[in-house]
Amino acid sequence: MLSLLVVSLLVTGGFEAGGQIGVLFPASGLENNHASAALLGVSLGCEAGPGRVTLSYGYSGLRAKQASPYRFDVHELSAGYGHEFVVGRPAAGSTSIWGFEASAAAGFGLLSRTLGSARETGKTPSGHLGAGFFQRQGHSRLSLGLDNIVFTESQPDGSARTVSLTYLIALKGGVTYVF
Amino acid sequence: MSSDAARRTALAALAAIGSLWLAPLAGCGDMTLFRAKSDYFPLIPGSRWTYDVAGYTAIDSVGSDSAVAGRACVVVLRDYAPEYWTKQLTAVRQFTRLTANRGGQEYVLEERYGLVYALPLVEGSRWDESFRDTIVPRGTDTVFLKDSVSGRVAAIEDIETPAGTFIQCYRVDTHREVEAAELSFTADYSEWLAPGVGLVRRVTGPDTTKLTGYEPGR
Repeated sequence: MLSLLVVSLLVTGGFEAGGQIGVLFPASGLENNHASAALLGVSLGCEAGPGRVTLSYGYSGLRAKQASPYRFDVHELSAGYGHEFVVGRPAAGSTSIWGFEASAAAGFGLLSRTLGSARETGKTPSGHLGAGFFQRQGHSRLSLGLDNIVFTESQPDGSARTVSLTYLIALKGGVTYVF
Repeated sequence: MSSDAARRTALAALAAIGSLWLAPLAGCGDMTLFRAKSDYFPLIPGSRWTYDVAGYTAIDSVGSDSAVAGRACVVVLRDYAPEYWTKQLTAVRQFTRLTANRGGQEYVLEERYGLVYALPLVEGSRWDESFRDTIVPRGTDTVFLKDSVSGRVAAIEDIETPAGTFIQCYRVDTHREVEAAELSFTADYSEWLAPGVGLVRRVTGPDTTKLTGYEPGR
């Protein structure tokens, strides 16, 4: 079934590959002892009409707010859907279009806290809701947007069941090549 | 069906299948972010802890801000006796004052903020601090002082106490050694610090301290 869908998209849709850079801002308590950090990402996608499906990988290394060998690495793989709303149509003699995009994604984060040689690792599912601006011209697609990321953690043991949500905000800019 | 509609349907189906692939991973979170954002040593004014110390009830509370030895600190009343603590992003320190009596007069051997916990707490992390000094209280009477402390975050555990069950607690093993003439002592103890609460259990040799009540401050 999945291979059939991929083949149908190969035949009828377009493919894209790109990269993103940005800043990851910790929130929901994490900002008390973690500073914002650079965010790097790569993505592969396929598109048809205003819709895009992307598979993305992102990395960020949050650091302590004071000088310390502490670091919190976040690696995340996500699959999502984005919908483009075209606002600006190409003028005469131009192929440029621009508009806004809304996106949603589900992902999985691999986390690592290190302090000197001490290390804690973890993994957690995540959800994304994003909104941003895009511009297409020829084979290139530029984007700039905000991504709201929520990581969900739970401890299901007995009466001490706890669910913890952690919110991070990413401001991302990206360049994509559309094949 | 038009080719555009077919493409959209294929995209939506692919997105749905991608989400289904990720769905089983939901609930796998292992609280790493929860620990990273939690405060394991809250010094909020008005907070009050009640402990059972081998059948005896001890009450700790956080008082007001103060300044001791030229440094801003928080007053913690440990069973109504004042202690002075400082907390920064990288360390929790307690004011230590050691004195010796010579000929009816009190001499200060040590007066400083000693390291208690290195922050942030990460399982497996260690810290050491050693303070040495030579004090000559009077004449040829010399006191060699060595105050060293070493700590290790030994484990992450869930702890049950009379005040409830606390998840994701860090167990901190501490060894303290003071060499200062008649004041010399060695202490080994384990403490469990709970997120948002602080100390919930301490084991010193055969003695166990357990949290029986906690009221957070504002």
